[in-house]
Amino acid sequence: MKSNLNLPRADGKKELQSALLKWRVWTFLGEIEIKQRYNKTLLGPFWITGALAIFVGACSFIYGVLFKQDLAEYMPYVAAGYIAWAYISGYLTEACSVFILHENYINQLRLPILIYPLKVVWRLLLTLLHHAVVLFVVLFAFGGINPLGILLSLIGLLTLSVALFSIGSIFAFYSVTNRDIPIVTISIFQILFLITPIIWPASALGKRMEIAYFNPFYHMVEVVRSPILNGFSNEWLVHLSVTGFLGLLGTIILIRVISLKQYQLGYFL
Amino acid sequence: MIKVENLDVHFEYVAPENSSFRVRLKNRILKESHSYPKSVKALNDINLHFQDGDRVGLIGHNGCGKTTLLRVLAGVLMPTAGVVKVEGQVNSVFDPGLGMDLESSGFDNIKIRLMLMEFPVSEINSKVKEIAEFSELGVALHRPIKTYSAGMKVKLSFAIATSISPENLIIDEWLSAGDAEFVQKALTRMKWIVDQCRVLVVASHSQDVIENWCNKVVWLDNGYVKKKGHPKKIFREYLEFYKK
Repeated sequence: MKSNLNLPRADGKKELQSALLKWRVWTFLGEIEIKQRYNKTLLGPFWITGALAIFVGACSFIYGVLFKQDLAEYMPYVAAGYIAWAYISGYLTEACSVFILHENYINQLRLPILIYPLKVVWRLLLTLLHHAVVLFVVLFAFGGINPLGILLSLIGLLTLSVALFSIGSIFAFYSVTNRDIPIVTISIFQILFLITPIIWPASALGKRMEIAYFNPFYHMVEVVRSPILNGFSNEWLVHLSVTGFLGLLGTIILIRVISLKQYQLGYFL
Repeated sequence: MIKVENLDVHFEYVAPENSSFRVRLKNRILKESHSYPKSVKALNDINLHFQDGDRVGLIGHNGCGKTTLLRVLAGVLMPTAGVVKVEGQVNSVFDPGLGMDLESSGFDNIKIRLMLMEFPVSEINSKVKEIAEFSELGVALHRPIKTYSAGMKVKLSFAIATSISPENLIIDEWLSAGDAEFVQKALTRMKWIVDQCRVLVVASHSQDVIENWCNKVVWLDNGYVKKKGHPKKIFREYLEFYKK
């Protein structure tokens, strides 16, 4: 939709900065949300862990047979892959509607606008932490933990977070004026789950590896998963570069989008 | 000091029947212009100048632009034209219950509200204690607030909303709370806050608030300032105008 609103530009960089500096607010709000969601349940936030354990168990059992995979290799693969995927798809689908859902806050408070996507990032990182318990159990059961791999994986996770945050926030801005975006995103991620090597091994593509290579989500998953399974590799550097590039590009575009759209939000929410 | 010059706020919206993707695509292909946004002129050419010490009441019928003006003054809405200058920090209260969670305890809710009001984290614990004391809710603060009566909830949100004395205070409706005894305490608290702040702007329909708390009144009608001046005089005219 074209807008004829005559509004000044915001300072995108400053907005981003001040939101990041208010980390105490968004970490607090993210933690509160986890507490609220699992309030009064038997396991509390450990339902997150339990649900993933069931998924990984069932998936490894069935698909391990289907893809004729060795359980000792396949189970950590599924666990790490799915954890990364839950973070990626969870954030991007939620980020689209984050401004719409926080209409009341945005219309009443002067908090920097990016606090709301950052809060979602933080909550999903905490979720990921609960998920990681399952991964460590699996790794422990099937051969052990590679400390260097974990470190590289954390670097990957940080890079991934920057990419997700910036891209998701751009979508959040556009979703306010185009409410089709959040709905379409959800269906797209259902398809992406199937076409991205998450629960099936990329090696199954054989000579058609380009199917994975041209899928940015493959790199986003692998930047976290591959070092945990295989330690350092040149492949990982490729995944890291792709993800890092997306993060850089995303941040540049985001700063621009903030300056164009920030003041419009009050008019469209 | 709050100064507003030539302020316009013009919202735009797309009529619901024109907002679907199908209609927009059709209009684009046929180059029809129906789907272009329509405009709502919420505020027009507003000029106001409040000095320190001014206690301003904002009156006018529903839809006249009171809340929109307050949102602009509070800095959460950027006007489509004009200049807004505010000296000093602004604290605004539109919905005193914003962000509160029924399943969380009273204490947790105090914390949530303080975080949203950007209260310095290092002083939060002592502030929570102070608010808890003022609210007189005692051990009930450990319970989820969904177990509270309506009166208790109001007491709690009043205690939180008035716990910070701002330089400039902007409120969408007068804050008061509780049973006879508490009302007195609430009044004292409001008096303290109003005395402390440089400029107060309050939207209200209440004659009591306008005449007893304000020294200036701005009457908004249909997005324009219809009259401004002395509270008693303007409020009388306002009442007579709508009697006709």
